[in-house]
Amino acid sequence: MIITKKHLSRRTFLRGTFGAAMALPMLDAMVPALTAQTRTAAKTPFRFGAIYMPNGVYPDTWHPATVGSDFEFKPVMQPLEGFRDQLVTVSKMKAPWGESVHLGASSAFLNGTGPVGARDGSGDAFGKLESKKTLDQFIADAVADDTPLRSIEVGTEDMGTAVGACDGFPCTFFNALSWRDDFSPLPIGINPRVTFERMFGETGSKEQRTARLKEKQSLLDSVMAETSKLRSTLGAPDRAILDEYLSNIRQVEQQLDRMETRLGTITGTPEAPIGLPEAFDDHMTITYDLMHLAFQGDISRVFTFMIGHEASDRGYAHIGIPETHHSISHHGNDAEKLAKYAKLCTYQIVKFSEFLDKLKATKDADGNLLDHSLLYWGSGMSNGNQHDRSNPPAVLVGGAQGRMKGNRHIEAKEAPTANLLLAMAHLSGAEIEKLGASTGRLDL
Amino acid sequence: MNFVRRQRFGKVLVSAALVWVGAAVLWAQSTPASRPQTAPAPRASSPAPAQPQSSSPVRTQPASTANTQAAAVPDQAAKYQAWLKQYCISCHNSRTASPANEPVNLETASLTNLVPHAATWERVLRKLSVRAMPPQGMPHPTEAEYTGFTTWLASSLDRAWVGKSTPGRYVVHRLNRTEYANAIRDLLALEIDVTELLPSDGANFGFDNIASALGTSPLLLERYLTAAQRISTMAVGDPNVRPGTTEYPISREFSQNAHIEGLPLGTRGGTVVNHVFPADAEYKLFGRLVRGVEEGYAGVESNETPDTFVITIDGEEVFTAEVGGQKDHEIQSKDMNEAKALVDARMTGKVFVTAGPHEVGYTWKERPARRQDVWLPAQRDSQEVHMIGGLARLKTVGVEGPYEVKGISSSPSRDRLFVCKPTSAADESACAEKIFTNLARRAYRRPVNAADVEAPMTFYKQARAEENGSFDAGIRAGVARILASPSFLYRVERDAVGVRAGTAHPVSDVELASRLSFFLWSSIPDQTLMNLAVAGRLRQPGVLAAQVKRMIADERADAIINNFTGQWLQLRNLESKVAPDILMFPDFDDNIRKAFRRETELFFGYILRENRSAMELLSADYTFVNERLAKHYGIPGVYGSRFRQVKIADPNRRGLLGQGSILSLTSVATRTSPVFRGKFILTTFLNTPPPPPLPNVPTLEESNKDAAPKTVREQLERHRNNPVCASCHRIIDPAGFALEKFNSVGQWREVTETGAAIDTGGVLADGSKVDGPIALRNAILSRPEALATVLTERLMTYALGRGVEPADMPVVRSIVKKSAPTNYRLSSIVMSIIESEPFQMRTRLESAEPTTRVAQSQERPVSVP
Repeated sequence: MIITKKHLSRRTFLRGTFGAAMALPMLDAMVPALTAQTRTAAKTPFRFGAIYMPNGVYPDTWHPATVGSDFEFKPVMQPLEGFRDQLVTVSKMKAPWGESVHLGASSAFLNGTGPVGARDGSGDAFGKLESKKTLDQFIADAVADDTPLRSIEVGTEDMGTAVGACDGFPCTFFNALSWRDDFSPLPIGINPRVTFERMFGETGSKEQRTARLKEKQSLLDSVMAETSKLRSTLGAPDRAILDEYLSNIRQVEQQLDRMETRLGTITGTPEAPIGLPEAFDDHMTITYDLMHLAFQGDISRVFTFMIGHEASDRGYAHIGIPETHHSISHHGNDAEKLAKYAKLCTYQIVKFSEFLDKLKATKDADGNLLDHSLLYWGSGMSNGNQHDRSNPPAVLVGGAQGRMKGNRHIEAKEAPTANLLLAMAHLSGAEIEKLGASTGRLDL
Repeated sequence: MNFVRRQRFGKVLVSAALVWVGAAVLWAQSTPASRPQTAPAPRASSPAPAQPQSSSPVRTQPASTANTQAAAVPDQAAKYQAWLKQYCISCHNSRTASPANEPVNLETASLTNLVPHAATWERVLRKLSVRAMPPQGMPHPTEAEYTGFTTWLASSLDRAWVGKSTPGRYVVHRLNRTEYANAIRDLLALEIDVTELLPSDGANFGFDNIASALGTSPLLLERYLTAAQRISTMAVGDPNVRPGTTEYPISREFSQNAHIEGLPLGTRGGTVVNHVFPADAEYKLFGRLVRGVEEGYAGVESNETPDTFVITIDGEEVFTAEVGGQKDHEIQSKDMNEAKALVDARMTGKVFVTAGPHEVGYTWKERPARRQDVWLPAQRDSQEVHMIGGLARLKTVGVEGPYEVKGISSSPSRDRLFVCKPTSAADESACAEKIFTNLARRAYRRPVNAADVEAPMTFYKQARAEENGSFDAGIRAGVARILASPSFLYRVERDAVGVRAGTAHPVSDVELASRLSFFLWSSIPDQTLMNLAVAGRLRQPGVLAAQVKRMIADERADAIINNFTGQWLQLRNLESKVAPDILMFPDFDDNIRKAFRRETELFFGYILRENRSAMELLSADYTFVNERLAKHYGIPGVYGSRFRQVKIADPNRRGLLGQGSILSLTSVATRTSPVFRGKFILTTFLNTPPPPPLPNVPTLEESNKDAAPKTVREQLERHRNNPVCASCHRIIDPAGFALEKFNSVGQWREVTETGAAIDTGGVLADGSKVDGPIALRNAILSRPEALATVLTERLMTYALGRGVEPADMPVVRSIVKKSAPTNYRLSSIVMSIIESEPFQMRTRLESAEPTTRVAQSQERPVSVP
């Protein structure tokens, strides 16, 4: 059969409370196949992941009251207490406005800039797309090495179902956290099945998978020749578009080449997850599980995960919140709504902590995966009620190969979030001097 | 490298803009009087076809007397400059330029040199056309002064652009995923679930078919390859495919208590799926029941009489099984796992199916009501997971197989693809060439050349030569190559030979055919259209109009209806956004949500296909409902799942403002939102979107800590006492309040969710007093040209795949003016857009000789025969 869908447990949407871990047998079954990938201690790869939370986190429920080590966790961050020794939380930063009330928050998350250029009202019907290369891509430059996927960009929803909500900007800014360079957004993929196939190739026997991959490579060669010929007959604006297409073809080509060398080492016939899970909780779990597998199998060392797009209208009825995420973030200081806002954010931190648990439980060279990773969980605003850009949540977890000292709460004294981005680049071995509005490197 | 390249791109646009004057050629031909003295435009000497002749092409030049008015301009401009000073400049000046986040400065904007400030003046025109400025409470001009100024400004802008604008800048345009899926359907008779294959597309200017927003990424290109491989396999069929399972889940919010459209009459619940079977073989078709919270199957216990599960193929019953009843009840109450295995096995039928797509129905036999054994106070009670009694209903359905493959007889895809069948090995190559020539011509939407056929032939030969390689395997590989081609994935237009940079010229008939089919069908042209275009007959008198008429009547035009309303009216958001609280709205299920969308699509489609007035979008005394939706609205006498046109007796319910789709989209889970509704109306129908919220606005709530407001209205009234909030909410809220008697799922009500009385009164930005849907509708319809303008602008954006710029506004205005005498008939507006210069022409941006070989030099040498 060509397009296979496997159903997840029906249990999940029946569960009234959150946090209970759900096993995903089809993914766990792959672990033995992947352990062959585990690197020697001499060359343990560094991994980086950034997770974006839309619509902010209410600061009083998040930032610890005291600075320095041994701070007391506030309720929303509480589920991370178990990782205290490998955790640094940063407060009192300033996130950039990024041109727009919601979109600016997510689009500036990893480059401290957001959209470059104005809204569509300025009269350029070409709707130029321009931002700045993002942190994760600088890090990928430094650490990706020969991994099949330089980086993975995932999410759980995109603007395909949120028309009219892009604040007058190209919706790509809502759909992408990551920019390969100033002009090349890397939009998120929301379908776990697609992500799975990117990571492992097609399902089927080893021979079938190899045949498909070989055919893809020949298709690329042939298409590239055709495109170059076509390109030479067109005017400059058209050529610029085909150049982008060609440069992406080259990247896929390299990716497939790297995949080809890996194909031999992936044994067994993994069963792919279903397409889009109906239950959001499944979608969250399976996406994190795929990122875990990417790290574990050394398929990719860098990922960005957009939990939702800004102003997300995602419902959280499965944890007892009938209102949508965006509407509950406009809590109006109503106690009941504030409690729901905190509950929603806590749910997401629990999902994050489950992912961290898995990393920690996975042996990697002389330690575990978490020891060799840096995970950044944050948002582009603090109090969603006002789209407040001051004091946004930003928590870093992981050993970062021993380069980050944990158990600390740092107050950044109004430093731009870009200073934190620079510090993370430094930790990851990507030496960049400036990013967005950075004024220096935050001392981690 | 990329950066450098893009900069060059930007420069090209600028330099091209400086020579736009060349575009005057067409106007110069028709009205020498309006031709600017300074720019003698060269005539487009080219083999390009003549300009459109069907009916009367829409022109952008002002109606008349450009010369005589030109003399009066300075006087008039001075007069209106003073007028602006009197009414506008006290707020919109160099110092304040309100609103803060979208500043308008009318002090520096020139009335004598309009083009550089055209964007500002178009904004002014939009606001003044609906009398949205000056704000209430400020001195107002008289109605005659309003009309005088807007008429003068509009015609001055139209005049100012003559010779300076360009009718169309087109760049290569990637197919979005809807277009991709439709093209596959029309090419290969395959319905694919494109969301499983391709990522969603970027959007801009409110639509997802905008050329500049349709970039590429490694993710997308990788998926294009996967899609090409899978689709080619599905089209050709695959007798060697390994058995697999495909499941189609049914939303748990979808009620299965009544007949579902598309399934045979006399059935209840279930679903129908279009499944592509890879070969003639045995398949296991199965349904799985919804499970309750205790893991028991719903519908199995507590039913005295069994339900009959039915599977149909293309409407024919092929399998039945009994589920429930006394015996199953006993088994399940004793051991759930045993019951599960038993019921699953019983609900799996092994059936022989031929290759190709078939409609597979999974449903239940309807029983007389008295034997339903079900108490159902609200629709969503049947979705209650704690209740494992009640009606048996399906959670998922699926197909497993193939087993015992017999081969591949025929399928619609194969019938369409295999235009010849080789009778001997010697025939094969010629036949393959014929197949690829035919497919490539349709896929690339143009006559094909030798290279177009060579590429798939290379793949064919290689696959054919492989061990176990068959003719079919070769064809499959060639089809994959065609589907991966940039000529399929991109709409490429070429400048006519000999046209100078900056000069506009009509696109070729073949290119026009694609513009037409992608506008109306979101797909490739069909044979009729292609044949006319290739023969150069598309622009012969009457031909274009007849083709447009045929295309709108064709069911493929559902694409413009669904995609345009899906985005202009945001109907696509229904699924993601509309989730009314289950306790407050226990009858709101997925069936109603789908019915909302269907209603509005059928409604818009009727107005388009019957060429009715666009004003009926708001005023129509008819709509389209089925039994569920009719009951939801309280319309009597409608039975069955089929949608039909009904007359609306209640004047409050008329038009889009009375449709559940719009009313629920502009609500939140637990209540209506006058702010969302107001914003929607201002943006969608009045063309005056409120400015976006300011950064760090002081919150309203902080000032009301003492006494919480009792109603949304009270809360918003306080909002409006705060001057910062009031500047926008005074304009936004009243339109929303006028609809307050529609609840958040579009039902009429007399009190709010909390039981408070409803006050629908308010004053709109133009000063008109409204007290409900009727008055609101009448206020909008009192300026029909404003509604026609916003609709034309939006349709034009969708048609051109780019933003509508100030330079396009003269065309928009002429289309609106032209359609006014017939009361803005929708199909006529569409036809006028098709006849307009932006749709018919393209501008050469620069010479085609490559100025740099950078990109090529990086390529690996590739040998292609």
